[in-house]
Amino acid sequence: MRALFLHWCRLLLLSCGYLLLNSCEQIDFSPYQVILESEQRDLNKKNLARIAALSLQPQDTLRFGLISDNQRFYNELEDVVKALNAYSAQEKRLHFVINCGDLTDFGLQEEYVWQLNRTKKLKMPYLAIIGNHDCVANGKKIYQAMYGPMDFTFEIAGSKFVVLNTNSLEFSYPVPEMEYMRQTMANSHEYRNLFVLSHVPPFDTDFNKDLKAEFAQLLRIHQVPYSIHGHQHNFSFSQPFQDGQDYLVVDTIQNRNFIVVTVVGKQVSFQKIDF
Amino acid sequence: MKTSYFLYFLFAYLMCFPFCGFAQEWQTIYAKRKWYLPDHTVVQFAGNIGFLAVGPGYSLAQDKINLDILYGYTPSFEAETSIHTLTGKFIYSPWQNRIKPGYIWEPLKFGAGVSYSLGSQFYTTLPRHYPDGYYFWPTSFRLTPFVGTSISKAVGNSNSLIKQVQGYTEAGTHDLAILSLTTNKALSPWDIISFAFGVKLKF
Repeated sequence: MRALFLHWCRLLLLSCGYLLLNSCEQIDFSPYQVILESEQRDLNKKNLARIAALSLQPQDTLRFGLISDNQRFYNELEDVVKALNAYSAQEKRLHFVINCGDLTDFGLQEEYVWQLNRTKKLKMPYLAIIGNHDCVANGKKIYQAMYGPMDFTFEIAGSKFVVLNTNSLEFSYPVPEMEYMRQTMANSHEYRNLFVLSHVPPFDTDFNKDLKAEFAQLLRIHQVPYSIHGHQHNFSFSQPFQDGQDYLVVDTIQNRNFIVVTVVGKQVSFQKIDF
Repeated sequence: MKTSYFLYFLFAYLMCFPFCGFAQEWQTIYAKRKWYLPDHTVVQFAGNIGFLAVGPGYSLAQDKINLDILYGYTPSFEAETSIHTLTGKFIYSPWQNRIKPGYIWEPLKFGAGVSYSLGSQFYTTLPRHYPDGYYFWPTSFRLTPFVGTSISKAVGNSNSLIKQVQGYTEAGTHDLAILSLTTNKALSPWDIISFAFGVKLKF
C-alpha cells in the first residue's frame, strides 16, 4: 500500500511541478499572495532610468500625459493606452505618462498584473503613484514590490517632480510624510519648475486634516505650477484654498479623458483630451 | 524563485509519510470510529486557499457531499508577508462511476470554499476610521467556487486505516475576480481561473 501511495504522490507532484514551472499564471495560492516575476518588479525605477536616458535639457520642451483611477475599468484602460500611443505618435510626443493612483480596486496582485499587462503596451515610460485602493489588504507590499517606494522624486528637463503617498486613511502613522516633502522641496530654486503629485488631493476629506495646511503652504512657498492629483473621479482645475495655488485633479479613465501637460521653460500649460 | 517552489513541494511530499507509517496502529485504536472523527484527510496544493492546505473532512450522503476544514499556508516568498488561511470547503459530487474494480471516477464535482485570512491587514467589518461604506467588501473572507474531477483507488483491506486514496484537481476562482470579470470585456475567464491539486485519504 505504501508503495502504491508513494507512486500516486509522485505522479501528482510531478504533474503539479510540471504545470507550476510552465504556467505560474494559472496557479494561485491566495488572492493576497505577493509573488512577482523579475520583469514585474521595481518598475518605477526601471522607467525612471528610461526617462533619464531621454537626456532632455532645460531648454527642451517637456510633455507628459496624466491618467488616474483605472481601478476596475480594464476596457477603458486598453482604450486609453491606445489613445496615448496614438497621441504621442500623431500629435505631439509624450516623454512619459504618470498614473495618479488607484491602479487596482481591491489591492490584489492579479489586478496589479492585469493593469500592468495593459499599461506595458505604452510606447513611452510609465510611472505609477499609489492610491488608497492599492493599499488594501497586501496591496502596499505589492505596490512596493512592483513599482517601488511610495514617495519618490525625479528630475527631467530642468523640472523636478515630487511624488507623495497621501493616502492618509490607509496608514497607522501620519501620511503624507511631511519631513520627506520638506526635504525634497528645499532645493526648489535649482529647478525651473517643481511639480508635486499624489493620489488624494489635500482639500479632499480623505486627506489628513492636521497636515493639509502645511501641505498647501509648502506648495505655495515653492511656487509649484500645478499640484497634481486623482482620487475624485472628476476633472477639476481650481484654487480650492483661494491662495493663488492651482490644483489639477485628473479624471478617472472611466470618464474617458486624459491630460497632457506641456512645459516650455517656466511656461506650463495643460490640455484635457477625450478618447 | 522557481527552485524554492520545488523545495516546498518536497516538504509536502515528505509530510505524507506519517499517514502510512501509523496506519496499522490507528485502525486498532479506532475500530469503530466515533461520529466526530473525520472520514478523510486532505492535502491540497494551490487553489486560492494557500500554497498548501491540510485538514480533516467529513463525508455525507454516500460520499456525495464532502465538508473539509483546511488550514492553508502561503509562504512570504520575497515580500515578507506569509498568509494563514482557514477554509471551510463544501464539495458536491453527483456522479460516481466505477470504471474498473477498485477505481472510482467522479467526473464532475462542484463546490465552494469560504476562506478566512488572518492578519492585521485583513478586516471583516470596515475599521472605524473609514467613512461608512468606504470599501464595500470584507478583505478577510473570500468565497472560492470551483469545479473539479477526481479518481479514487481502493487500497489495503477493510481493516486498514486508509481504505481509499483519491487524487483530485480543481479549476476555481474567487468572488472579487468574478466581479472584475463580469464588468469587463477586456478580461477573459482564463484570466481568473486557477488550478488546484490535492490528495484525499479516506478512512
